[in-house]
Amino acid sequence: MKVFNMLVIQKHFNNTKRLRSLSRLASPCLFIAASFSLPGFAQSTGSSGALANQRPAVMSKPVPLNWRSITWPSLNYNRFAVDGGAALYSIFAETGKKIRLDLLFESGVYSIPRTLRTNLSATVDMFLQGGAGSRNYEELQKYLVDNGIQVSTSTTSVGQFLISIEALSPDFPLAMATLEDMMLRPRFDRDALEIWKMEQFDSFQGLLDGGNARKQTRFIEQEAMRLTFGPEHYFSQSLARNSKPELDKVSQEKIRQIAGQLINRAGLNAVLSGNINTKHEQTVLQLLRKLPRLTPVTYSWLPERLKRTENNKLRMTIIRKPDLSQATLTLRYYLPNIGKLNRVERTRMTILREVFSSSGGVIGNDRFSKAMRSDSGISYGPYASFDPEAIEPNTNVGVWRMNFQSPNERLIEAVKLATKTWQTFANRGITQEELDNARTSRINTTLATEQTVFDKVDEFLDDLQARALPNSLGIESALVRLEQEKNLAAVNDLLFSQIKAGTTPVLVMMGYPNDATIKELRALENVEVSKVVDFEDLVKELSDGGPK
Amino acid sequence: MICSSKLRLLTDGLALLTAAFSCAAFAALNLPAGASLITTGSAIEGTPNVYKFKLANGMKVLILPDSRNPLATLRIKLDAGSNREKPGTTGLAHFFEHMMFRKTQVSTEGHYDRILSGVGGRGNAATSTDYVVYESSFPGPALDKLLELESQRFKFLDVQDPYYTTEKGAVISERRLRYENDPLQRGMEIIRKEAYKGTPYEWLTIGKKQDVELMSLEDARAFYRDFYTPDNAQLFLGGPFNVETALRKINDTFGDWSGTVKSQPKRNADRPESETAGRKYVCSESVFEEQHSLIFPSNDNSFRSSVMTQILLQRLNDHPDGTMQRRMTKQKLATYFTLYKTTWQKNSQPYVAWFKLNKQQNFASASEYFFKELRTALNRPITPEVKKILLKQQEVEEAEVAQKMTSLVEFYEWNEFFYGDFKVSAQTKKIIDTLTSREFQSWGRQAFSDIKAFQIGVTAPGKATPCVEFEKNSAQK
Repeated sequence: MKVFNMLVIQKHFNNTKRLRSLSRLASPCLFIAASFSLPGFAQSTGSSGALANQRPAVMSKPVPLNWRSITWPSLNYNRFAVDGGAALYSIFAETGKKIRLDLLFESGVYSIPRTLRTNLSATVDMFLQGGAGSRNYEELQKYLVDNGIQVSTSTTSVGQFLISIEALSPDFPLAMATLEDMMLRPRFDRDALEIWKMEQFDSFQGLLDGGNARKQTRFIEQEAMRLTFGPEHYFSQSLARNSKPELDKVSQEKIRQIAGQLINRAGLNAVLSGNINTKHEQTVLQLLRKLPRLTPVTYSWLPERLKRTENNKLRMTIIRKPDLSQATLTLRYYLPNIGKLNRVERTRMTILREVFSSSGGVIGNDRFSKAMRSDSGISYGPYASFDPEAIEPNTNVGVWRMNFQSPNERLIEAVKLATKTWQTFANRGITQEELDNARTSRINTTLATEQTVFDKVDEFLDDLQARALPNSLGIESALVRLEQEKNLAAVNDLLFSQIKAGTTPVLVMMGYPNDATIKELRALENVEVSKVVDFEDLVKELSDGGPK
Repeated sequence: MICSSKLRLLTDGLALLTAAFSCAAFAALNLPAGASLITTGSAIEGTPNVYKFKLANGMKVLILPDSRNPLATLRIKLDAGSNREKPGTTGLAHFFEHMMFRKTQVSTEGHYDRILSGVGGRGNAATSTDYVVYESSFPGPALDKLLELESQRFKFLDVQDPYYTTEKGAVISERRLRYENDPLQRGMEIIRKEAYKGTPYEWLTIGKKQDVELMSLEDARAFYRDFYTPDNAQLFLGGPFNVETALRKINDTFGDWSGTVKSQPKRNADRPESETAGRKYVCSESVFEEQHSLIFPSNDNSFRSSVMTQILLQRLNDHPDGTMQRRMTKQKLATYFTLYKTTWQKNSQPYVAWFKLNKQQNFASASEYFFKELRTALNRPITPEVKKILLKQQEVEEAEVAQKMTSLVEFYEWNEFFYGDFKVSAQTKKIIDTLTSREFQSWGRQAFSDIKAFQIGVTAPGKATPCVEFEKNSAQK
C-alpha cells in the first residue's frame, strides 16, 4: 500500500462529493472480506536522510493508447416524476445480483440552523441507531444482517441528507419495508441516543492523544482552516463538535424536530440501480408517494466566503508535540477569486495538476514528489492536489494543497523547497513536453478505470447534486477535450491568471522544531509565523468545547 | 498430463464430470513450450472462468479474462515476507519492496514510474510477515509494455548506491512515522518482541531500528538472489484478454526468469504453549484508547478453521441485545471487539479476540464477559435457520466481490497463496451445509481453550509497567 498516512490525507482533503461514513449497518464481513484483512505494511513513496539523489532524465515519451477502439457504453436511465417535487431515476444493469436505492434529500446541513450541527449529526445516525418501526436498534441490526441488507445514512459534502440501501434482488422487498420504517416510523430511542453519545465521546477522546498520523492530520486540518478562514468559521470547528459541551446539547426532542425537516418529498431525488425490473420501480414510487410533502427547502446559512487580504505573506502555525521526531506539514495556496471553472478550464487544471503531482507512479516523477522525495530525500510521502471548490457549495474558491513530512532537523530546508517548487510552477508554468506527457497520461488513465453500475450511480448523484443531468457521452467528451489541449500558452495563462487574481498562502506543521528552528522560520523571507502552540493546549481547548 | 493426474484424485462424480469437461477445454489451448494448464473454473457463480498455469521455470500464472472494462490488473506475489529474515537482517523483505521501484540493469532510475504513469497506470506494493505483493492496474492495451516493465525488475534489478542508501533513508523515515512516533505501535513492538521471542514474528516487518540502519548492500543482493525466483512467485492477471495470447506474452517476458528459491531450515512459527499459556504481555504508553488481544495458538491452518471462526463470530453477534461489540459497549466493557483467525500468516494462524478499551475500562471484566459469551455461543445449536443466514451472508459477500474484476483477482490471489486453491466458495458452502452442533462445539472448545491463551496489550499510563521499563526488564531476563 502506498503511504498510509498520505492516503488518509488524500481521502480527507479530496474533493469527494459524497460522504457515506456517518452511519452504516451492513452484514459483517464473513467469508470473503475476512480473507482480505490485509496487514498493510506499506511500500513507501518517501525518503529521508542525508543523501541527495539526482535522478537521470528518462527520454521515453508516453504513447497514447487507442481509446477510440473501445466501445464506451452510454448510461441509460428512466425518469419518473412524483407529485410533490420528487423524482425517481432507474438505471438497469443485468450484471450483478444486487439492487441499490439512494435517496438524496434536498434538506441537510445548510437548511438546519448551524447551532444544531451536532444534533444534525446525531439525527442522521439515529435514523438507524435509534431503531425503526417495531424494532429497536439491536433488532434492526439483526434483521438487516440476517437478510444481507446494507443501509447507510449520511450527509454529502454539499450537506444533503442521503440514505442508501442495498440488497440482493430477491430481498429487495424486505429492504424497502425497512426503509419505510426508517423514514416514516423512526423511533430515536432515548437509550440508544445515550449509547451514541458515549461512542462519540470515546472517539473524541481517542482523537485527543494525537497518537498517529491520522489523528495528527485532523488537528493540522483544523489549524489550517483557522489560519485561512478564522477561528469562528464553520470549517474551523469540526473537531469540537464531538466535545462534551456540544454532545450535552443533543436531545431527543431536537432530533425529532430535525428529522421532521429532513424527510421531505419536495426536492427528493431517488436513484434505483442494479438488477431491477418494473415491479421494483413501482415499489419505490409507492414509497416516495407516502413521504410527507413539506415546504420546499431553503438554505438558512452557508459557510462564509474567504475574504481576500492584501497580506501575501505565507502565514504559518506551528504545533509542537514533543514526542514527534518527524513533522507533518500542509502548505496551501488558496485562490479566493478563482470563480466557477468552466469545462475547458477544468480540463486544463487537470493537466496542470498532473504535472505538479501525478496520480500514477510509486516513487514519483511529478514535480512535487521529485523535489520532496526523489531528489532531496526529505519527505516520506509528498502529495499535492488542486481543488476547484474548496468551500462547497460556494464555488468561488480554489486551493492547491501540498502535504508532506520532514524530519525536525530538516524543516527549514523542507519549507524552502516546498515553497520554491510551487512558486516555480506558479511563476513559470509547465513546459510543452510536460503538457504533452500529462495529456497522454490522463487520456490513458481513463482506460484504466473500473466502473460498476454503482460507481456510475455515484457519478449520477454528483450530477444531481450539481443540478445537472448526466452527459450520455461523458467519457468520450472528456477524452476529446483532453486531446484538444495542445496549446501551452492557453494552459499556462489559466494558471497565471488565477495566481494574479490573488492567493492566500498558509502553512501548518505539527512536529517538534527547537527554538532555533522556529527562530529561523520566523526569519524566512515573506513568512509570518502567526502562532506557535503546544499540542497539549490545543487538546485542552478542544476538551472545553473549542475556541471561545 | 496434469489434467489427468488431477482427475485421478477426484472421487466426487460431479467434480469428475466438471473436470473432464474442463480438460476437454484445456486441450484446445495452444500453450507455450514447457507451460502446463493446472486447472480452470470459477470460484463465484456467474463470473468468468479463471485459468491456472505453470510455466517451465516454475512460476504459477492465473489469468482471469474479464471484459467488463478496458482496465487490467497485474499482481505478483512472492513468498518473500519478513519471516524469511534472520535476526540481524530484519526489515530486508520490506526494504526490498522499496528497491523494486528503482533502477534495473536495463533501465534507468525513474523508468518504472515514468512508464507506468505514461500508460495511465498505477502501481503499489505491500510486504507482510509471509509475503510481498506487487500490484499494478493499467489499460488493457498496455499489457505488452507492462509485462516488459514488470519482468525487468524481477530479472534485472540493480541494487546499487546511491539509490540503496537513499531508499534506506525512506525506510527509516517510514519506521519513524509509523512506529516510533505512534505510542501504540511503539508499545506493540516491545510486546511483540517478548511474546513471540524466537519465532519469525518476533520483529515487525519494517525491521528492527538497528538492523535497518546497518543493512548492507550484500544482504539485499542475497535476499533478491535467494527469494526473488520464479518458483517462489505467483502472477495474477485480470482484464480484457484472450487467455492464450496473454499467457504467451507472460511466457515471452517471464519465461526466461531463472533461479530456485533457497531452502531454509524449518523454524517454529509459534513458541511452545508451555512458555506462553496464561501469560500477560502488557505495558503502558501515552494512549487513551487501549488495545488488548487474547491469543489462542493453533496448529490448524486449514480453510475450514477460518470459516469456523467466522461462524463463531456470527453466533456471538446473533443476540437479542445486539452484536458482541454492541453489548460490550452498552455494558461499558469495551469500545470495540472482534474475533478473527490470523489468515495472513501461512505457518502460524492463531485465533484472536481483539478488544479496544477506554481509560476507564479494564481488560479483566471484558475478557470475563468474552469467555462467558463464548461458552454460550458454542452451546447454541447450529439450526437450519442459522445455516440459511450464514449462506445468505456468503452470497451477499460473493456478490460484492463479483462486481469488480480487480476484487475477483484479489480474491483468487489470496486463496491461491494461502490455501493453494481458489474454489473456496464451494468449500465454504459445504462446510456450512454439513456442520453439526456437536462438531461446532468440539471445534470451538478446542480452538478457544482458555488454558492455552495468552494476552498481549498496551494500556493507558498507570495501568501497567511503562513499555520502556518493560523492554528493559525483558532484556535483563
